[in-house]
Amino acid sequence: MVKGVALSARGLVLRYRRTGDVLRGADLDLRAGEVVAFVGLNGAGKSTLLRALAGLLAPAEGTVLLDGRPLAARSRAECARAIAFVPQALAALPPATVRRFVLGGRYAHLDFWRTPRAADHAAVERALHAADILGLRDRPLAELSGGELQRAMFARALAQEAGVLLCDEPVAALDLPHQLGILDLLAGLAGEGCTVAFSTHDLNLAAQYADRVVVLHGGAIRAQGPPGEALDAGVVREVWGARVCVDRTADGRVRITPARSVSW
Amino acid sequence: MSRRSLALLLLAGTVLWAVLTVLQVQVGEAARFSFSLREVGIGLARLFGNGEGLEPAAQAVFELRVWRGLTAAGVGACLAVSGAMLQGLFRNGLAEPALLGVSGGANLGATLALLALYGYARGFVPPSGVGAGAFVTAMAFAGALATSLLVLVIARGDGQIDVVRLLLVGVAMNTVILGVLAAMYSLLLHDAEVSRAVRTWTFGNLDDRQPVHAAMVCAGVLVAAAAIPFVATELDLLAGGEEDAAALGVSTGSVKVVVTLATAFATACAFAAAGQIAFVGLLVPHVLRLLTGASHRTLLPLSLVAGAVVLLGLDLAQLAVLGKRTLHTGVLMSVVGGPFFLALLARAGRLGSW
Repeated sequence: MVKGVALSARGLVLRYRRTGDVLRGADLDLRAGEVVAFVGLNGAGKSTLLRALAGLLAPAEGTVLLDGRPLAARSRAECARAIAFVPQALAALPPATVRRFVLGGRYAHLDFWRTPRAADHAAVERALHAADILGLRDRPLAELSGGELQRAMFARALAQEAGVLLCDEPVAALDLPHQLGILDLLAGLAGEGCTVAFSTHDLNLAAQYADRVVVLHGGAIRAQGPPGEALDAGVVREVWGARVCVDRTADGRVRITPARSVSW
Repeated sequence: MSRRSLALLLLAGTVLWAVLTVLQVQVGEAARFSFSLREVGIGLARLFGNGEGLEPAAQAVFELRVWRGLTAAGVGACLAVSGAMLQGLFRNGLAEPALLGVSGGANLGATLALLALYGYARGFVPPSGVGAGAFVTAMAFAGALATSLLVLVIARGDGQIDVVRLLLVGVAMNTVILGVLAAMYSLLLHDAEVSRAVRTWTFGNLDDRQPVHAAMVCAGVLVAAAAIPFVATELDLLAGGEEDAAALGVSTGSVKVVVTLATAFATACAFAAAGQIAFVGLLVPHVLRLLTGASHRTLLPLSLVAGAVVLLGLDLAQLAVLGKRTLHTGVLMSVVGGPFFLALLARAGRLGSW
């Protein structure tokens, strides 16, 4: 695993041909050992930004730098050895068992004949264990529940053993224990020197697990910083609306509570 | 499937192919020329430039059967592996080699060549004898390759080959060419001889094959086989979508280029050498998925061998059952292969996994 890798975006403009700009001129640094959470409304550009940071979407302007060198100047395999990306969903379900699917994460590490070696199988075992799906290893993907599938995708990214882990809503389909399990794992990886970023709609989880929160709003980075700063009452009310209360827990953490409409 | 069982299956398939090839050389429609194994040896030795060979007539029949057998096997292999690759790339089980416009192009090339041969091209002196056959083949090949390249160029549009777009361009191109061909056919109806020649070619033909046909499909097989290590694992990973594969490190652009060029070339070779033989490219990969799983690492090499065995076997079976080769191989493939496939589909639950 290549640790201590930094990913940064400079003057990033992301654009879809039909819909226009999603993000206008964002500067962002993801540092090794840090967990960053991307939050914002639907369509604020969380997934788009993550895809661009993973090198899957070419920026209209600006660059994404991996250890100072543009992603665009690196091969796909080189990017995949450094950056693992967990998508929100797959375009289609591969007709594979969980183990074979997770083995796909080793692709960028394989030689010309693409033959997995003992080290690859060992990485797959570790990833299956970490994502708590060892028992499902021989199940076809088609027979998994939504949460199990999400853990399988997470396991595949872990098997990549990349220094940077970008997850697009990695816990959205998970039950509470598994949400915490995955986020603990992310925090643990950051503790070992990985660079970790994830997007989420759960502001409380973001506040608890992220060292830094990036709030995307209106095609720009509205705020970024430690959860207490980025998720301050003003920002939260401006982005999420007046019915969201922000206060602090006894130990000083930000707590966000949605309020039921009084007119109901 | 483990590497070991894949190797065993490939070996078994190759042995079966060799046995069928020998059988196909031993017997044929001309009952007078039934060769013993020893005679097969003598004939082969002559073919490779050693020994006296069989008596001249027998040697000639022998060699014709060799070319027929090699062509049939090569065509089957080219079409089956091309079908498997395209189905993987398009993530669509309905994709088949004809999709890239190859069949329409081959058809057009061959029809134009036949027209020229029958004196429709003013001022053009067509080759005669053996050259005539090679001329039709060459034109079919040129038509097939040119059409598929045109399809690829149009589908490329603004830089990236989009898979759905490629599919649509291929279908549209085939439609245009089929329309042109239909117009030509109706204008030619009064000329029974040309109509017959054109129709015969369209049905798919393995009679009177020459070394050029065998060499052509061998080239197709080699190109398709050479592409396998570059795309097999990649096609497995593409099952989750293009972006997903890219995230894992697959350079999806080169996979698309390698698959489309290799299959265009292999199918062009097959169609040029033997006319259109429907269904091999659809049937063989699907049967293999049901029997041995859907991973392209096993599917692609097995398709090569199974395609060869199926087409050669079908050619032989007709001889064994009917006593002569009445039906064109392409027709037979549809009539026999179709119901077999339907029966298999009716029984199968899932369409294979890896």
